[in-house]
Amino acid sequence: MSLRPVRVDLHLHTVLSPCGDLEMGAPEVVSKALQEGIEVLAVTDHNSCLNYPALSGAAEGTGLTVIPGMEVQTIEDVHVVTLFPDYERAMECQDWVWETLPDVPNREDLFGYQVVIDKENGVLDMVPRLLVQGTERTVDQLIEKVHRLEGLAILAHVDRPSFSYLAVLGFIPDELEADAVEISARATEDQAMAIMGKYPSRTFLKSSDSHRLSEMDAARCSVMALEEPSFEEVKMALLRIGGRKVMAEWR
Amino acid sequence: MKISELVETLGLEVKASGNLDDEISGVVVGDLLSFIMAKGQPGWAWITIQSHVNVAAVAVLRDMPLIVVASGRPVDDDLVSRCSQEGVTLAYSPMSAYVLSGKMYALGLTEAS
Repeated sequence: MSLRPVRVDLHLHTVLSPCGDLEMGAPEVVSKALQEGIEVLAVTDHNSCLNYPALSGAAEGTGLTVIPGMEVQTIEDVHVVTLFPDYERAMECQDWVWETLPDVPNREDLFGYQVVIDKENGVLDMVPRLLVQGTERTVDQLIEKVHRLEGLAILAHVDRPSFSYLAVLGFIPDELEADAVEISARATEDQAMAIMGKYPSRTFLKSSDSHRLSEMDAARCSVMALEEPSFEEVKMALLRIGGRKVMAEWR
Repeated sequence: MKISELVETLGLEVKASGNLDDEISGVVVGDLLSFIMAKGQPGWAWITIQSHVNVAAVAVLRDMPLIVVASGRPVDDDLVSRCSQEGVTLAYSPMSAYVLSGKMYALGLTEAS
């Protein structure tokens, strides 16, 4: 097999995230991803991976690869996109995250709905605990946990003024073992270049961080050189192994 | 006002000791390190509830000799050892950033940004 360009979006919210639009249902997200030529899609709701089965179920037979993950908020108020080789390990991480997620009930009138769905958008559950809050795990503890589960840890939207490693913690230390750094699709060319110039040895990527269908867009994600659309191949691309790589860094 | 006087007067617990004779001339309060990197001034104290190890580097970068971790937030061991290495005084208080600010202002530390 040889390497080929594969469109990858590693940051997306569904109806499980209270801030996610209610149009972010399983068949809708899958169909929009296919329409945009996206072949690998990670489902990364806030502090939860419970809608992975719905998305992977809806994607069955379509050729779209869905990766389980979540966007974890650490004690420092930093967002980290975490991705896992399978749902079992994603759930193990979610359980660990939830051990210190404050038991504050979601107020749907303030934050929105937190809906767990099946592959046809049937409502399975409404998560009662508010998902958009910080856990008591540090960034370093989270990265260590994710790596023990053979997952990937990506610093989310570092160009943003809130919940980003750069805004909250100022700079990225060389020894931080994050697998990649995400620059949001909202960043300007200048912002992206300035950040990338400061950390030349890091792997950068662009992800959509979609909360609604209109934000899912071929131009708002990354193209990677992979042999096939799979978690293992994405991992090799972020770690730059065997020729796999992020082709257009950020854009 | 010397760091040692602030420690004494406010009952701060010193976790890592720099030069306690250093003079403090102003105070900045905040938990976003990017903000402190822009606003912190040489010779100032910094009150924060952020206790990530990067806090030490930001204090060094802005030449701030005193960090006060407020509200009894857990202090990261890495931060303590980094402050010791860098000669930055790291102090700790159960008082909130608001109360500490008020007390420091009342002590005459009115310079701020």
